[in-house]
Parts: sequence; C-alpha cells; structure tokens
Amino acid sequence: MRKLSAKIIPKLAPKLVPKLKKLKLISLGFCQIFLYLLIGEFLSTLIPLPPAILGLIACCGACLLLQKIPESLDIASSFLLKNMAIFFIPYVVTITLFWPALADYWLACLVALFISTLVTLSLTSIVSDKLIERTTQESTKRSRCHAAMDDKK
Amino acid sequence: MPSATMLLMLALNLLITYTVFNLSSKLYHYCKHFPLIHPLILSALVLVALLSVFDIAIEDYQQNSQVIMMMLAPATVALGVPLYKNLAVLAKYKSAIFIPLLLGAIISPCSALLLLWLFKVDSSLLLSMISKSITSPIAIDITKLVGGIPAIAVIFVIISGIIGAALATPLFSLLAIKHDISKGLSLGIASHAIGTSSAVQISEQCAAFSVLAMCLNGLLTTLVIVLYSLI
Repeated sequence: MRKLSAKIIPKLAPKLVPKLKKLKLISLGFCQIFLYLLIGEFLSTLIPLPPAILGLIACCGACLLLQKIPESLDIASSFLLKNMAIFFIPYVVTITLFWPALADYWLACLVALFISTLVTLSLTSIVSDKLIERTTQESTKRSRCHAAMDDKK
Repeated sequence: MPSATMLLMLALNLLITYTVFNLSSKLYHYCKHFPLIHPLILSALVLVALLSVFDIAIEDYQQNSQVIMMMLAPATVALGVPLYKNLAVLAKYKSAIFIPLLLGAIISPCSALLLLWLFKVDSSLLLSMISKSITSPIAIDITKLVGGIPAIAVIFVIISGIIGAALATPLFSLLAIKHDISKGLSLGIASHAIGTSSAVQISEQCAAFSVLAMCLNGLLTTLVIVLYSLI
C-alpha cells in the first residue's frame, strides 16, 4: 500500500497542487466577500440602503485602503461574476406566479417597458459616447499644446 | 429523514438550473446572440415547461431555489472589485459619466409613466412603474414609499432588466457605440443588475461602469423620492 501511494503521489502531485492552491484562494476570497456582506448587513441598520449594495461599497473601500486587490478576492469575484446571471433565474421563473395580477394591462405594461428601456439605453449610450469622445479629444489637444510649448522653449 | 430529502432537492434544483442555464447560453452563443433566446428568457421558459410537465408547483421550486437566490448578495458584493479597478477611469471622465446618468435617471421612469398614462392604466400600476430601472432591493423600498405594489414593481424591474440584457448587444452595434464605458453606463442605468450580468460578458470595464451606474441611479432616485415624500 505504502509502495503504491509512493508511486502515485509524485505523479498526481504536479496536477493536484495548483488545483488545491486555487481552491484555497477561492475559499479565502469567498470568506472575504461574506465578511464584506456582513459589514453591509451591519451598516444597513444605520443607512437605509440594501445590505448587498453597502457590502459592495465596503469591498471597494477596503481595496482602496489596501491600494490593491488581494489575489484571492480577485479570483473569487471573477468566479461569481461569470456565473452571475444564473442567480436571477429563480426570480424570472417566479414572475409567472404574479402574472394574474397584471392580466388586464399586461400588453400596455410590456410595451411601455420595452419602449422606455430601449429609449433609455440608446439615449444614455449615445450621449456618453459623444462626451467621452470630446474628453479624449480635449486631452489629446492639451497634450499636443504642451508638446508644442515644449518645442518653443 | 425530511432534512436529507430537502438537501437532495436543493442539490437537484441547483444542478438542473445550472444545466438548463449552461445549455441555453451555449445555444445563445451558437445562434449568434439572437435576442429572443437570451439565456435568461430561454432557461426560464424551459424551467417553467419542465415544472409543468413534472407537475411541480412553482412555489415549491421557489422554496428549493433559496440557495441560488441567496448567492445574488455575494455576487453583488463581488462587483466591488471591477469597480475598484476602474476608479481612475471614472475620475478622468467625470462629466461624460454624470450627465448621461442624470439624463437616464429622469428619462427612464418618466417615459414609462407617460406611456402608461397614455394607455390609461390603473394608478397603482403606474406607481409601481416608477422604480422599474432600479435594482430590486431598492425598488421594493421605493415602491412602498410612493404607494405602489412591491410584487408588481419587482416584475417590472426584472422584465426591464431582461429587455435591456437581451437587446443591448444588437442595439449598440446598430448605434455604433464605440466605448465600453458608455455601453456599461447605459446598461446599468436602464437595466440594473440583470443588465450588469450581460455587461460582464462584454468586458470588465463595461461591468464596472454598469455597476457604478446601477448604484448611482439607485441612490439618486431614492434621494429624490425620499425628499418628495417628505414634502
């Protein structure tokens, strides 16, 4: 038995160790995220905002204090964000529960939601795209001016 | 042992939801992001069909998917990381971010209210529509403040989220939007966290600005409504 394990372990180790390391990092990151959530939960008794949003602010604030993102937090958060859409599915499914309440007006509501969402999306994206363009142009102009002034000197 | 069966049900629920979502997102990529089969729409339809085929009540499904619903809170916290990574960009484009934000926060509820008013819809539904572009936990509070129906407000929130998430990609290519910043901003303003979940697919910067827009939109609207209710 000991001989067998002595044979197998060196073979498996190079594959297993990085995976275990990643697992360790992810669980460490999850601990941090739940800690921020706890902080948010506490803060929500003082500030009238949902705990998750306060936790988000706490997470960002902690990164600001540390001046960096811990690797464990980075890995755990990207794992969660990649799968974020899944967490909405139960909510979407339960829409069918409340559908009777909307029975008389569902078409009007749907049309209103559709149009207003599309209008908001297109207007805000166009305006911000234009503004960003202008900001970048100004900054390049300014840097060109600086360069020209430097040339004159 | 009731607890063991419950645990089994929870695990089964998680597995089925995950599998259905994975398959539908594969199909979505295969069909070149055709909006009508956005994974959220498709997987919800498939799950509802499965539930009705196996004669399971939707209430039971909801009961057993508490774990999935609970994971939304840590996922929201995790959005702090891309937000931190993009703070420097935020400082650079201050005005390019706050002007569209203000515009969107006003236009989004006003346009919906105007349309509903034109359709002569009930005032309780009208009031539930105010919070339609705000992330659902805040939306519930706001709807209570203005006297709407929270359950219906949540439906409106989810539907506008799905519309935004499904149609954003074709809309952005139609309008020739260049910067990921503006894509993220508009997604966050119009369709909050569900929009953010599709912004994550575009790029990390897009996700960060979507988060930012979602938070600020929620804060701004809450502030306005609270002030209004005080008056």
